[in-house]
Amino acid sequence: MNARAIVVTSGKGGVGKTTSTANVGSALARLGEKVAVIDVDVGLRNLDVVMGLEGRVVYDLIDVLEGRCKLRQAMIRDKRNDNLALLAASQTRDKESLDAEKFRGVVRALLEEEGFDRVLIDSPAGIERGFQTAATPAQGALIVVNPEVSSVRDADRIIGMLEAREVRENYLIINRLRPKMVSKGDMLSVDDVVEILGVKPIGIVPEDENVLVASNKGEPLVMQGGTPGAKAFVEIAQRIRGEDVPLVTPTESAGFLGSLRKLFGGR
Amino acid sequence: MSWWPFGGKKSKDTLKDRLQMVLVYDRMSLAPGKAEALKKDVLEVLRRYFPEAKDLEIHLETIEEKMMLRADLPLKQELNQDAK
Repeated sequence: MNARAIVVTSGKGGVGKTTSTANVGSALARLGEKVAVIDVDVGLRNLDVVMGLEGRVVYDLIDVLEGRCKLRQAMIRDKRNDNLALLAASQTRDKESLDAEKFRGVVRALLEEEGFDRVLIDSPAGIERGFQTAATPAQGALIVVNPEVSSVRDADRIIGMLEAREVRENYLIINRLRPKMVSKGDMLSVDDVVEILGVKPIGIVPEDENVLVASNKGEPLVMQGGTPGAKAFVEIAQRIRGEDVPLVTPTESAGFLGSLRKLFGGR
Repeated sequence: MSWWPFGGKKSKDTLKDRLQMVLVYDRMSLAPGKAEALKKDVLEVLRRYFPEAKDLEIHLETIEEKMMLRADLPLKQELNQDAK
């Protein structure tokens, strides 16, 4: 992706925006990019806990916007990964003080003055002001979508709004895919979601219990590696960097009964 | 149902149809009930003018990026008249 400021968004809550931001951010940093991740979910911040950096938050985004601290002071460097830094959302303050133009200035300063290669913006759920502000400085978007009815509908809405805001470099992260259900025809496939939404996928993340385990521990999955979810996030980071990594839809071996079913015309 | 091995409509196909339908209306910011009423009215008018016409059909379709409400109105041609 050419976009250096990328908003991670979804419309619907609970589909994996924050997890995706943490993991794609960590993976990009491990690949050598200097990455800032910003939580814009004022009042409901979570990126700090998912990344395990909650104990080190002193200043937050609103402090920066209101001039109570320098931008550099508010950036929390991840000790496990020197290339990665977090700018936390405010948990207590009024979100009215989140000014879109000032926020654009912060993102620009990170990219142009503080030496970051990439900024990932974790957008709040919804289509209201919080999302609008998060999208303001973005040149591209990662739209996180689960293959289920409300998530796909909301993603479509978000895609329309991004296009209206001239955020053009947009890709889908299809999250929580359950290959078994897809093969039974009880879950939309990757192709279905892409056909419905008309936006290309940049990654497919299978349902992976280790995602929850990693969040429990405050260590993004990609820092441990090895699991299918971790692999998917690393590949997303590689594709963002322009590496040619083929997109393979996760499958589950059908087993004997499955083969039998196929033989008799089922799918 | 998905356990039945001989095909049949999968739940995801039902979902896909429903989603495609609802998104067409969402993208137009049009209430689905309103669009259905519009279709009914247009059909009624067409029938008034072309009582004999069969296979009158109105549907929404997407062609590339554009969404359109399309009415199919096959008109019978009197081919014999020229031949006489």
